[in-house]
Amino acid sequence: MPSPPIPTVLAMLLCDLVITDAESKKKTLVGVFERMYTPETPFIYPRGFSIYARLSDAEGHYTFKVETLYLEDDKIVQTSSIHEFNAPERLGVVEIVMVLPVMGFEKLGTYEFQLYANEVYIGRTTLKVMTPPQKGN
Amino acid sequence: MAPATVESFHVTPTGAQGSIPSSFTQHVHQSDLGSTVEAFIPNTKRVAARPKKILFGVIAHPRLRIKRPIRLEVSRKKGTVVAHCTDLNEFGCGVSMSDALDDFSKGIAELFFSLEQDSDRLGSDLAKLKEKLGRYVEPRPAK
Repeated sequence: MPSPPIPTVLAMLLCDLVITDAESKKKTLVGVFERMYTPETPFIYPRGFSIYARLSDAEGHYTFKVETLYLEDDKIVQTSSIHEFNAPERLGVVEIVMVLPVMGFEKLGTYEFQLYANEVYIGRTTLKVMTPPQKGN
Repeated sequence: MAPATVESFHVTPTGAQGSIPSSFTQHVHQSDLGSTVEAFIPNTKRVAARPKKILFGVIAHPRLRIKRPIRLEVSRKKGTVVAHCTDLNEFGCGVSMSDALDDFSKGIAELFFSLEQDSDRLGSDLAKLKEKLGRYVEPRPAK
């Protein structure tokens, strides 16, 4: 059996919350962000956040995985996965919503969330963890 | 038609083999959002090194798509990350792995189009490279 096609990432975003309308199944992304401020590290981000990804060209069975890396030293911090997802139609769109309830950050710097489909790297988004800007700047 | 959606997932701290301490386990039920989440609180103490090989499936051009994953070897030399495909003998480089992968992706897209453009006057080596590249990359069919 041929392996399923490699999906194309149309969008990959971090946000506070993804709300799904019960009737239409449309998604609303609340609080899209790409940086996080903390006065000191390590720290735990208690509110949790979501990763939203929109894919095309997917058809068949996939295991999706998100690896979180600390980019300064290329160390993997965390792995999240979705097993046995079936995409019915290649011309359709697949939406992935991963809710990360709590996440710890050991250091300031750039963290990257890399998306894999069946162990193939297909896209990424980044998060900068930094100290709060000085007042007046 | 509504898009297919995934909302359930499983988070595992890297490096944790076998059982995960119960203190790291958290169950979250978000019935009001119609999703159920089972997750482990990430253990940031236990980290793993970046793998040296990666299967790559991104092409930096809207008219192209990847037919099958490209096997890359990733290495770091003096602050520069290099992603190298031994089969195609092409590489990309950057300050991080993702920069190197982006560079590689743009490079093979440019290479694909330049080989296509000159396909009627390629020497044997470039013709072979075009044939190899065609195993990994193909034009996206017009919808």
